[in-house]
Amino acid sequence: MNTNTIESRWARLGILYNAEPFDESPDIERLLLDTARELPANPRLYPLVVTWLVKHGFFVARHRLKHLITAELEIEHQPALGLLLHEAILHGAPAELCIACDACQSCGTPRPLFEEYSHPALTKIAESNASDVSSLWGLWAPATTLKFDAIRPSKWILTNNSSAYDRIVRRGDLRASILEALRLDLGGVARSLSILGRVTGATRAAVRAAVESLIQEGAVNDQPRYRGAREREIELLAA
Amino acid sequence: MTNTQGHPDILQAVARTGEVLIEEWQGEAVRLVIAGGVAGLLNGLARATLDCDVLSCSDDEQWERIVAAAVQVAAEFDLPKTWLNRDCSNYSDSFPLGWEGRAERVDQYGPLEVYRISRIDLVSSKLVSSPKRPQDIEDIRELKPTAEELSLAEGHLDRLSAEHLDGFDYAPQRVVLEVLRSEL
Repeated sequence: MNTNTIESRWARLGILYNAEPFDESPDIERLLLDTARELPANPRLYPLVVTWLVKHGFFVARHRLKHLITAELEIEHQPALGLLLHEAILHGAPAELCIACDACQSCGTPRPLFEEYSHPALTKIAESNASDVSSLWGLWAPATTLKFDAIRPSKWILTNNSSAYDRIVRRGDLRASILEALRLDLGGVARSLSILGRVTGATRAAVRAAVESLIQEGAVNDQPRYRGAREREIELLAA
Repeated sequence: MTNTQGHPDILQAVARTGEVLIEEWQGEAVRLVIAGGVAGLLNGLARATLDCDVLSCSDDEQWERIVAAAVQVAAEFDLPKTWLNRDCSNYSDSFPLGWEGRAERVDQYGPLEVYRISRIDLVSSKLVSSPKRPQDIEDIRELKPTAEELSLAEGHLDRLSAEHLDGFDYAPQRVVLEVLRSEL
């Protein structure tokens, strides 16, 4: 099995890293959380992931990402993810990613994002070269230069990641988040609409409408939890 | 062929581009000097990306043919269409004098004679961009330049300062340089 590094996981999603793509298809939303955690010590991630989001941002199940930010991402790493998403949106990533960006808290005391600038003599350089958006998040980082020559086309992602198609045809909307939550977080079955609402951070009405659509698409099935029950459980159907 | 640590797509793509070109090639081989991620990789940087930035091409008239072949190969390898590009050639003036002569031969692929930017030129160019590119500070640290190499890089900053029309003194780069020296 290949080493499970952040580079190998992004390589599987089409970033041209010098790394063998990881054997398994990554959980994109949790990979973004891990990216935020590693960003300070791995500055090359920043322009590459921003570019990936600009080019392929609709592969992200944004409602699930929003939920995972509040449920799993430590507060000290939220500004880095907020900045990453915000910078990507400013460069042309889907504006819909704002719902995840808005879930991130900014940094109270401004400081350099990258450890490479942590030396006291370099901190001033980081501040003077900080982009406006990075100052907004309280993490000084230079403006990104996009690197489209290091990002593979969507055909690669679709060929190498089995759930990518389900994501992109729904442009990362709530239906994509429900499918990914069922697949990655709930073992294929949600015992109620409320559970789906919780793991996607969406309202019950929005979840109900999305599930109805998924039933029509043949992607999920619903049935009473037990004979005569009002509450229905939602089951992911095999592709 | 140089080993690219288990993921040789790009050099395979360069080799394939050479194969495509050789079928209808007339004339002499073209010398390409590459910078960017692949040059870093070939100089030992583990976290490098595999984009192939061409700093110079010895025959500009052939460049369009090379790009056309590279686009064909991009489709075969699922690579971005711009995987082989000359975007960085605008910055060739910021490399130390004589960089073309110091470039090191990688291999020949059909009519493409591929060279990579030398280690000292890589260090010097990364020092220039380091204030706005933290990954370049990381790369320089990973390359572990000697005191002599840092002095050569400083000489490069001196030349750039002397030539700068607005009198820019490259002070931020010199601060980075001093921090790197303190870590020797």
